Amino acid sequence: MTKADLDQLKLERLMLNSRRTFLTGSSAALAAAFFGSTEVAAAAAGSKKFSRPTDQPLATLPPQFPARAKRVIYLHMAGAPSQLDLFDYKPELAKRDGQDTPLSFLEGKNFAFLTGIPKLMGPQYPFKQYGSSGAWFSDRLPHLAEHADKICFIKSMHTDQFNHAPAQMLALTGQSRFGYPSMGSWISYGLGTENQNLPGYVVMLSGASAPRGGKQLWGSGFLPSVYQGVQCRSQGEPVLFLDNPDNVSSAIRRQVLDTLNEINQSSYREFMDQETLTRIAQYEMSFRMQAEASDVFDISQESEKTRVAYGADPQSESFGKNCLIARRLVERGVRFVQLFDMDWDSHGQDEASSLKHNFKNLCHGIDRPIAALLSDLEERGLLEDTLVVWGSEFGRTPMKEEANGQKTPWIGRDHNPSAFTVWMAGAGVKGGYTHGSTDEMGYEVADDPVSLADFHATILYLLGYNHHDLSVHFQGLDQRLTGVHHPRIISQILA
Amino acid sequence: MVKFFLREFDVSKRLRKLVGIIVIGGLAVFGWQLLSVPGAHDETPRVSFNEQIRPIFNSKCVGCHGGVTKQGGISYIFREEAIKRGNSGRLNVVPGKPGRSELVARIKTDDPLHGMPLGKPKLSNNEIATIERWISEGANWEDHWSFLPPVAIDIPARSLADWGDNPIDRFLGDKIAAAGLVNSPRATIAQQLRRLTLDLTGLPPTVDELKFISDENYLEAVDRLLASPRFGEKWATLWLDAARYTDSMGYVRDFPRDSWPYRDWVINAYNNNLPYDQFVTLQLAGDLVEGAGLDGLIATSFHRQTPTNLEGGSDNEEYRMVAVMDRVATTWSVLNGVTMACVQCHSHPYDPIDHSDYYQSLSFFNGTADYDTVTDSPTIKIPFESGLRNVAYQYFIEKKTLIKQYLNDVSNDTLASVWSDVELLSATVDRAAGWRRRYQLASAAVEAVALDISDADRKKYQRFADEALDQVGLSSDSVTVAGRVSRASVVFPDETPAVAVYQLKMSPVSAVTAIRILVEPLNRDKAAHTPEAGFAVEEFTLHSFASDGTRAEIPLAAILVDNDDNVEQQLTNVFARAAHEGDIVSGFSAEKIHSSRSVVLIPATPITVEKGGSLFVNLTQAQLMRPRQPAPVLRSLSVQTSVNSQWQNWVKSNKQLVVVEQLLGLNNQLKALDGANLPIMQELSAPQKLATLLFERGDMLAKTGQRLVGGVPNIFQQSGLAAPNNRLEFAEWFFSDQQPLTARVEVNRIWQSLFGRGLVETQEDFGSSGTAPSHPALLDWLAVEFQQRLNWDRKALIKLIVSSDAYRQSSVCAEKSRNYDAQNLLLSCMPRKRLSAEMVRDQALQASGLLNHKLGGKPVMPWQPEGIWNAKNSTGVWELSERGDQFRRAIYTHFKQSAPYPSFLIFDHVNRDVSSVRRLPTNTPLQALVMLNDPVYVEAGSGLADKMRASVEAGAPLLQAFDNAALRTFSRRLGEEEQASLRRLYDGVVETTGNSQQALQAVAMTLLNSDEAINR
Repeated sequence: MTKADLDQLKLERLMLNSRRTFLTGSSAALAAAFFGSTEVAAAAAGSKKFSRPTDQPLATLPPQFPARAKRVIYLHMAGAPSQLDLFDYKPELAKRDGQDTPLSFLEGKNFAFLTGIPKLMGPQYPFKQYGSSGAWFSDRLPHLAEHADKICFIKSMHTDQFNHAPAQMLALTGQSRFGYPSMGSWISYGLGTENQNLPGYVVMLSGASAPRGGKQLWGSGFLPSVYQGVQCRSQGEPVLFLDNPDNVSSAIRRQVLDTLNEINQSSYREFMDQETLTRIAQYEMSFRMQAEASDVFDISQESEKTRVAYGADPQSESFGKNCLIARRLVERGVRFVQLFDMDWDSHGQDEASSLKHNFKNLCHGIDRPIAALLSDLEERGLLEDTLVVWGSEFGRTPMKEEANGQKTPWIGRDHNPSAFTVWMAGAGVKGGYTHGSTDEMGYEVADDPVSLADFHATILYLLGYNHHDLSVHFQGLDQRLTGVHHPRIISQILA
Repeated sequence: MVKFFLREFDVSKRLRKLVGIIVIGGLAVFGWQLLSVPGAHDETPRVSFNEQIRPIFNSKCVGCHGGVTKQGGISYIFREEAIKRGNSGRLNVVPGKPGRSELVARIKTDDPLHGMPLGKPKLSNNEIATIERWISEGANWEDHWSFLPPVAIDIPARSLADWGDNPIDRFLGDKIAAAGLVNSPRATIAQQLRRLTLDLTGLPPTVDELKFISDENYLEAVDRLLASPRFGEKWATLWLDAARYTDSMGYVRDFPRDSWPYRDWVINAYNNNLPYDQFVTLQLAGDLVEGAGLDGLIATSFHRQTPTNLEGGSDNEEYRMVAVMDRVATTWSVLNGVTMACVQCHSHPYDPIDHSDYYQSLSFFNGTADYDTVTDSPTIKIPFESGLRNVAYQYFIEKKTLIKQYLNDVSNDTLASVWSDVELLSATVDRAAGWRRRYQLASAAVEAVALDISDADRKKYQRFADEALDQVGLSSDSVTVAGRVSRASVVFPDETPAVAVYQLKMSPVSAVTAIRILVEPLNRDKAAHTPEAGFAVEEFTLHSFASDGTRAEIPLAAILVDNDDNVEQQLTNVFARAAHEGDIVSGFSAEKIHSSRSVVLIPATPITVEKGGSLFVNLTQAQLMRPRQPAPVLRSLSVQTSVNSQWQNWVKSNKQLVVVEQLLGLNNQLKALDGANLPIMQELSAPQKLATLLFERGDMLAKTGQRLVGGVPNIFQQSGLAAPNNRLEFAEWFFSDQQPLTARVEVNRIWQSLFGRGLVETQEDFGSSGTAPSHPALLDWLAVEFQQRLNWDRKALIKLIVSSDAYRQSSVCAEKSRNYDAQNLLLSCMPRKRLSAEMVRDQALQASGLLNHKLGGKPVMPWQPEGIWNAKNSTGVWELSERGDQFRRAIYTHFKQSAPYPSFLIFDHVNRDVSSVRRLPTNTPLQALVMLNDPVYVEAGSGLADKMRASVEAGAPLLQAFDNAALRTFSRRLGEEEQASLRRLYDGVVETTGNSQQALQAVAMTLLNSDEAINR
């Protein structure tokens, strides 16, 4: 069988699998996805580059192609959790625990902190297989493990940045440098948002610090600022400047807005400036947003049972509370919800960064909330068209980190850009499936490497976009989330 | 020149016919392409490459046959690459013979395998015919318009009846009339003054100014506003966007940075009308301009606004290079609208700029002393008290002179000495000894009361000592590693421990007066452009063994570190501390090495080793200096000795101590001055600079080819411009007579500020993928005027523009204009502009009487929501400004790169993480929430309400009080309907709350939020 024959067969199977979703006009998109060639894609699809009417910055637009996913909840574990102690089970590494790292692992490598010849370190927690798919989980995520058959793992992610800030930017904006729009911005730009009374792209943080990549992780780069993620807080005013000043009642505000509308109408009659009409509409929207945003962030409306399942306490900030709010947001049509959970940088330099210590609390902090989120989305029928993504900026080394050769009770691993694990669940992805693998030490990708560009292109694909076409001309180039790369859609993970 | 003139002339003639067609046909949503619409040139005898051919190539061909990829060996960026023989073996373009040109065959054939564009729809018949005609006419190539110098074109005759003779009006009028449109009538004088005052000073006019303005004294108002100190505050903002100005260091830690003296310099430069050429030259190279003084140094902070990455484990060389690359891209984009960022990885996809051109530009910036360090050095002290600034500057200069003199003396007095290699008998590294010494040195530092060390440092040394003690106790740590010795040189293996004592054994035959140790890069060739990891030696000791085994310690009289960047550190630290106990630094260290580094050890008396005895040089590498990851490890050394007795004489001369005393004195005096440490540019001396090579696909670890020298892209050399050789010449080069872009780009920046859109809409891109100019002739005329007659005088240029009838016309657009020219490209009415983030706020504060007009100084922290600088962000605390400082103009608000002032961002302030020359306005509900709920605006509302109350209390009728408030806010009185609306609001609120102050507040908020207040 020639390669062309094989490709043809694979294509047919892919189309068969996806027939349910792609009834019309889809073969070109699939071909593009399959061949991963942008030239072929554009030619085959005969599609035009995306452009959005400037006067409707957030209006809902149909995707380029019919899509399974309508919205995204993206869970980023900032600092990089150890995949070797959560999902990527390596029995051979366990056997070689304490041995010197082979020199071949160290040659030509840059590390953030490792020096000299470090020791290999096996998994720190027992692993077991779960679900009918037999996916591996360590005992740190028992509740999530119950959802093994909903989850699609990619264990062969790799990146080329080994410091947090640039790696986070690369993971979330497609570039390791400043000035580029984040994934959520691109998606809001492409699809708009379904609920005009709420920001279309919401970001929430949990944990003791803020992500090192800073606000550019949800920034709009060279896209208009209306596409930047709106950082919301689960305590106090959820959206900045949302609440009326103390002595202004909603009734007075209404009166002010009515008067303002009259005056602005007369400006419009004089200047016939379309922007004036937009402004009138935006003032009205701000009024509705005040009601709706306060409502969506009010988790006291949820049953006690639900709040307990998420581990969400109305009185304090937590990842669990953010997960519950994320569900409430997507339920109301928010396009992209991005949660950052902090402090996963397990170097083992102190208790907070030790795999045997604070790491347990961190795992505990996400285990029930994510499990509850997946159940809740499923029960409400939202998992059908909501894509849940769990990931980070890189992985961690199979080598034990000892700063300057010092002996401490703390245990940690250094940054590993060569291999890490992410997972997806929900709209359009295969549950109970694992794509790609690492070598027996979990150090390098062994099979089916997936770059961040591939990963981004696949997410855009699930949302109905050929990554190549969602572009904006800036600084002499057609800029895209996937930059100048030629990514491949990870067709194997598509349901 | 002549040809260019004709071409321009043709353009404007053709445009008259064209405009009607284009506007009826509807304009593209993004940008406009008045000049690049092909296919309507029937009467034109010759095909124009720029107008007809290049657009076809750019949209249909260069994706595969461009600067990035040259499929089939053909590219349409340069003529040579388009007419050559492609990989097919056939000539692609044969000038004069379309029938023999492969290009024509390929675009005509229906064969899907060979037809072009491959896999895409064929070119239209019209396009094919145009290309054929172009080839038969000789396939002439033209440079993109912006790479040809502007030429002053004859000013067209007057075409509009009520516009005067300002050349701007003649050029604009020519096109308005040609399109069959007419200009708008003059705006009311109040509208004119509002527009002018906001555009020139960023603030609305006062009620008094409105009262006295008339058509007759409009020009006086222009002069008055240009002379106002508010002018600089307004115009600096756009430049600060371009300069990516912030008050913090960026990246992860985002510590505060004392950038504000630079911000004040920019404001003053605008206020003092510093000509644009000097303005730019000082910012790019003020450190190299003779006699530029303190201001020249402050100006160079322009390129020190790049972020500094202090994340643990980050490579300083990598982030230094990121900053240098940013400087290249920023320079070209801000000054010339050339998009260089893409040339970092490959040749420009559309414009004739080669990959190596980028690295030639980079070479000008690749030799400054900044190194992505925590101190942001080099910096200069700028005292808060302006009277002391020159004093501090004098200290700075004295220090530089002193060090230079010292280095001179050292090399004259001593370094002329002849060195000879000494054979190494063995070279080993002892880990256990390293830990022991680390313990002793760290403990000594903790104990050393005389040392000026902070509590934090003392704690750090205590921790070092404790750790070392643990290690000393571990016998398994006693490792000795042998180096591979070859005569006087030794290379230590990969597994050399980080904490260690190096022992070099030798047996010199004659009396040794000095020992020189050289640290070499492992790979000398590669290190020249990609430096290797550095090293840090805390201590040197010497001892000898006589043949009978007696050990003797040999005291050192001086250590001379090579004349490198840390000469000041070694002089002040090493010798000052040597005078006390607990000296822990030798000063011999380097972040990175790109060539050999040396240290000279001078014994008090010459060393004689008897036959059979041996001499040991011990280097302690204790990792006590600023901890770095990975820990620096010495790998390659060689040793030389001298027998020249002048070394001991030099030590006796005490020259070194005198210099140290003076340096310490100067440092203390500088320390005593309260002020800012402003990061500046300082050029390294030639041997300290890294070589610049091309980076393969922009990867700094994959440098290839020959060493590059500074230069500008070839395309500019065609204009006959002399090539610059260093950073200063590079800066000056932008202002040479034939430089095609500098004047156009600055004229466009000013035009954009006044009209809301540049003559070239894409201020950041004047290349062939940017938008074409809407009025090329006007742009060129203005550029020549600015450069040649006005000598880069920006106030004069602004005055010329704001005096035009075009600028003074009404923003009410005639229906015909709206229908035929929906985007108002022809400027047949004055565009309305939404106020910028800064102006919205400043206007509200001025209208309410709260604005504090204090000029310059440290940034302020007005109210912002909780949690913007949250506890999660470890660096810096938002300390609410008081006593009127919370009401300073927006430009003075502290700008933290990772957490900019939130209400500004909502009003489209740019992030300033990278340079930006254009803000794109949005219109969102979040803006409404800011203006209704942000306490700054609520306070402004009460201020304005107080003004109304005061009028009422002084006996004015309520409606007159409203009118006054409207004058303060949007510069005109209210119409009857508006009065009635506000009256209803007032009565309604009084009715619900019974509180007239609250009702006035509601009226004030309505006025501040009105569309007319937010626009001008």
